[in-house]
Amino acid sequence: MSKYAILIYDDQANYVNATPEAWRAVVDAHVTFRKQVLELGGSLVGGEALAPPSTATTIMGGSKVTDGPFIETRKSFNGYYVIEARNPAHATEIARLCPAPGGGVEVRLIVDPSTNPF
Amino acid sequence: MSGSNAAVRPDAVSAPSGPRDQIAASDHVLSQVVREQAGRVVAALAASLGSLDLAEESVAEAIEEALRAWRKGGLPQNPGAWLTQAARHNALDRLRREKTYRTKLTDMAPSIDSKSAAPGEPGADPSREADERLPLLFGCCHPALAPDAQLALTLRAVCGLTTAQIARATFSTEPATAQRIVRAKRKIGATGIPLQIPESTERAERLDVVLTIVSVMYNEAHFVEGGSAAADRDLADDALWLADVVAAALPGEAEAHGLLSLLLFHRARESARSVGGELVLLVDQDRSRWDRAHIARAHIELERAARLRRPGRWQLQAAIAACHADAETAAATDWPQVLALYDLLLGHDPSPVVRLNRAVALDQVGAHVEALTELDALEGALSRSHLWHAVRAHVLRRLGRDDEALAANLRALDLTANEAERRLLAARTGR
Amino acid sequence: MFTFDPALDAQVPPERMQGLYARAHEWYRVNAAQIADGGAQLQSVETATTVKNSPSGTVVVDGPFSEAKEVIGGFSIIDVPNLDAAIKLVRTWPFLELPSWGVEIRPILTVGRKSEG
Repeated sequence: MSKYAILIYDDQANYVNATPEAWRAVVDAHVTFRKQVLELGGSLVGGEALAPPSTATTIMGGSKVTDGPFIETRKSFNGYYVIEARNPAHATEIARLCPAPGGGVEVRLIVDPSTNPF
Repeated sequence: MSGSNAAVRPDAVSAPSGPRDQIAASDHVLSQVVREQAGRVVAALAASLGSLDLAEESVAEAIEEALRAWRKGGLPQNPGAWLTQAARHNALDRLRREKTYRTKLTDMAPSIDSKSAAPGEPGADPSREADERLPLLFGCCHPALAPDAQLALTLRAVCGLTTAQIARATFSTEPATAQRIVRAKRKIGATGIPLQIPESTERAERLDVVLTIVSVMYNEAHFVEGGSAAADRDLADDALWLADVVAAALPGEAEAHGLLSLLLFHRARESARSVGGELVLLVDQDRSRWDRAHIARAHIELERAARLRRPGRWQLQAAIAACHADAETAAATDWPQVLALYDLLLGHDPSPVVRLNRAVALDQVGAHVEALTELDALEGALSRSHLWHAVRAHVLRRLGRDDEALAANLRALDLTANEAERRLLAARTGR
Repeated sequence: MFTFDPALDAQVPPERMQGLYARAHEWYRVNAAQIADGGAQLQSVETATTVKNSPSGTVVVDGPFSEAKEVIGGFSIIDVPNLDAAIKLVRTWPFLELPSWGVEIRPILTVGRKSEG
């Protein structure tokens, strides 16, 4: 088993003006996904949801502090999961079920800190 | 009405009628009173509620109520207490509506000391004690907020301007201004931007952000798209007032005195800067119209800064302004000294605008070719600035390259959006 | 969230990258008390696979989701009292010496509560 990150990108508009019911549905969808990870033979190692990009602060190289995200995109990075899966295909199979109705998810292999990737 | 119950709800204030001409006159006094109190009330309320957003909204609402009530009924004896009371009432209303009443109400129990929010009579000197507005100001000018948001939030929370006033002063629309302020406050709440004076290692850097916003506030009053030169004196007034508040609260910060000195020098030239709505260049200004009292105060602040022996870009700019203020005629300006100061300033602030101004000094000491070389090196950064073209036109004329000078002046004219500056340039190109 | 432009990173001499990498390791060790579990350093973006959703269906493509030239290199969860403390910590992150890097700080949501944003 290897560790993979599932980076979640989605349309902010789906969340900014969500009614309490719609927000509840988003949360429920993620609860369901977390169950599905296990059903598919993977395991869940971590994950967090981020506050919207409007709350982002970026420290640029050279250490200047600015308002806003580092990368301005229409579909914003909203959160991530860290899962364990057998191989990239298995990780992708799991990631397909991750809720991101207006955007998508990116699957990335995580560096094993005992080896130097550079 | 006795002094003890001066702090009553606006709807309970009786409204003695007065002549109309007094009403117009009191508008200026009202904004001064509001400005003196607003930041203190916001700071105190934010500390007791733990929410800048709630505090600021409640005070903004109280200010609108106060302006209506005081315009009609005159000033209460203790305007600070009046505003505090009204703002607390509004905060309670909001909390009730948000149904977090029970949990938050207990937080409000240590009631705000009305004396701390009402330091004195209108027009009195700001308190020289620890100023509770400073932590608020540092929070509003946090580098994690966009500069336009820092400016709008400072104007509202610290200076007590209404959203409509800010929109007019910054040439924005009211909804856009309101949105900018709401976003900034949400970010402060969501990310935990602390309302505090930064610790010493970060103090200088963060203070520079604050001083930059105060300077922008002063300049906004002048570079007004489609405006006239005499307009919007108020924002310059607010900036000068705020620079004074910061310097008084942080007497050991040389740059705070430097900026105050710089703005006082600028202010001293204000009445000579614009004649009948026309912008007058420094060289052409009637120097007898310069305000000597302001110049004297500017010198005192600059000396105060110099004694602290920590030079910086605001002090150097003030020192340059002092060179101009001390020259009895434009021709008597000590340009070699101005150039030496710009050389020093480059070490603190190598920005294209500083280099442009240094090029003017080069030209004035007779180094026309060197000035043109420096200007041409700035083309990439400043070719969209009308000032760059105007300065370049001047240097080209000195070098006898009149055709190129005319072309540069015309380009400057195309680029300037400021009406007063446009008229000045048009007079020079004969258009 | 550690982000950078891989094209610009490729121009940095390998020895310098090695040095920065070693210092980044040290950074995690020294600041362990403020770093919560759950972060991750990501393999290079060539390993990325993307699942895109749209009303017309779901497609799986090779490569990162975003078309921006800058990519996410990893993220750490830090536990600090306020944004100033976060900025102070992040500023010591060794890779910020490289102009192509940036670190984005965002609050973590407590799931179940709708954010105000």
